[in-house]
Amino acid sequence: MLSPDAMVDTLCFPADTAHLEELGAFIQSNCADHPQVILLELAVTEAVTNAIRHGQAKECRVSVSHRNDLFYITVEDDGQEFNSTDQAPKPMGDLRVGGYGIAIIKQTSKTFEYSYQGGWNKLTLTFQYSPLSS
Amino acid sequence: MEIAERIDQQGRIYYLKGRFDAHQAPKLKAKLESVKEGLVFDLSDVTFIDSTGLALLVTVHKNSKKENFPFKIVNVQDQVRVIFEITQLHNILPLETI
Repeated sequence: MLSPDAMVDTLCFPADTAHLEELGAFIQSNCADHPQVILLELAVTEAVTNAIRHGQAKECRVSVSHRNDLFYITVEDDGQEFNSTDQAPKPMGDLRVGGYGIAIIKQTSKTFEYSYQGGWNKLTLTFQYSPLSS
Repeated sequence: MEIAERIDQQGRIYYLKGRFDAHQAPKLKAKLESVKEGLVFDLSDVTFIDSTGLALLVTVHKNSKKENFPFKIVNVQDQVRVIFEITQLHNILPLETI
């Protein structure tokens, strides 16, 4: 199992979509070296939005670290226990309203792991430094 | 997200600026409740879109087919186009550059 060894930065915020812009700026700032940082921002936004909308979370924590050629991002929330890694992603390119969040996370991340401890859901995502070159 | 609106021969044009995410999309959705005429979304200044923003675009596209009015999405910037591509909606939604 991959695990980050050095936390770079952590953002804690109330589980409210009003904080998505702040979250976006946090990811952009901490993952600025990634050539497609917008996809990291997208994956984390989807994870947090799911926690807000479906998990009734009250608080969220997002941490970013960077080691070798990987970014590690953990997304934690205190909402209802929900293992999104168990969900079969719906197909891309389908004219449906909704259901893209988990598919986006799985599509953009290199690994996608889940744990639940102490009342907190924890998603650990890793992203290859340069997905375009792989 | 800032939303500016103009009406011309193409119909109603919405110029969107900033983030088009789960917090911002309802603002645009509220403006579209009763619109059943030609619609253009100009995304020149949109810096980010998430699945909620995409879902609104899909809804409008489906409504345009159902209600038979023209709809197009124009000037998606490259960094945002990546998001359309990863969801494969760039092949389905009416994206144009003008």
